[in-house]
Amino acid sequence: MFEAGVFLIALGSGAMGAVLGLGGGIFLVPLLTLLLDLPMKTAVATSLVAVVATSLSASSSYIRKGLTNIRLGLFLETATTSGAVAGGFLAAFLNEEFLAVVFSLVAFYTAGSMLLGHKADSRDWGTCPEAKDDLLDMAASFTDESSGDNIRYRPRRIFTGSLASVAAGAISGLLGIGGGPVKVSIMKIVMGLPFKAATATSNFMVGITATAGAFVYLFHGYVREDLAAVTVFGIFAGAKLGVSVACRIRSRYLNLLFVVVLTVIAVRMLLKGLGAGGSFS
Amino acid sequence: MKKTRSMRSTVSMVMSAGLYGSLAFLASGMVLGRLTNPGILLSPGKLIFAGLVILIATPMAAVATCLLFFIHKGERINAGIAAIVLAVIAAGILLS
Repeated sequence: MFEAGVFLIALGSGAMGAVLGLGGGIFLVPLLTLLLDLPMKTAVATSLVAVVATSLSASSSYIRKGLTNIRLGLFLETATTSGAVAGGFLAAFLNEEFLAVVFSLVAFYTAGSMLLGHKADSRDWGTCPEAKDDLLDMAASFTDESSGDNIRYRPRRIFTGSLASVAAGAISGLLGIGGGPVKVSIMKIVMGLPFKAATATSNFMVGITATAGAFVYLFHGYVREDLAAVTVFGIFAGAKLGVSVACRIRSRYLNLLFVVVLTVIAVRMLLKGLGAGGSFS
Repeated sequence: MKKTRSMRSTVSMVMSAGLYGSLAFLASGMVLGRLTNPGILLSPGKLIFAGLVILIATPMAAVATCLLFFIHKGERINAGIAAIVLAVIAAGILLS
């Protein structure tokens, strides 16, 4: 019964993670701790392993379909991981509650921007100029399965996006939240990526980010192996389901779902920052 | 565009191989764990642990594949970026 519960929770988290470009930890950790009463460290360790599984399961499909921008993902990953390391050092000096409030305000703003800006999707990304100054060869294209359109794009404001990713990595490191929502928002709003390309690239990145942490938890014995194994199977099935849904659904609806999830995260962070949603430890 | 497709299919293949390989180990461990007299050589716990190690190492293998691809194609900047990502992950593991 317990294993069935873990499997179902992982299935749902994997599906949502694959659809929205998140690792799934944002759903998995609270569900494992609240519904199954698991200790926080076990839930976090299981979640990190699950994030890697979600990423691999979804990314292998997204990369094959050409949705993932690998070069952009790796470029932003250097910024995000550097930010996360810096965040670790800054943690001793900064007030987490204040940061949580700042983060929630940024998340509310991002959700509002994405809600109001979704109509610009196909109009802006229908064509892209030849990439003469594209030193990192980041221009890409993919076929949107829901509309059949071939969408070409070239990420803009790469260095602004990179700087924002450093800040995002630092905030993620400081507050212990996953980087997926922040990565998708930066790629869509700052760099102008189509939503599906942003979620697919984010899926590729979150697995790389989670790897180091997952290894540390595994070798320190925090991963409960039986639990992790069931979770991985649930996440795998959920992510496969999520990929097939994400490819068929229109970007507009994915965008709306993302806004809802981002708003829930923002409210949660605001409550934590105001001391009404539990501590960060 | 052709070289990008080639890298895409190779990286996707590495990810799928790592994922399915780890699932095979995890499934074997779970099945053996349910048996009353599991074999001495094949400990269920060790099989699951091996499966988890393969799973977690696979994103690094994917980045390493990108690195080799970039080096082969002479994309020096992208090769440097992939190398930095691998170095940061390695440092994160070693320093913790």
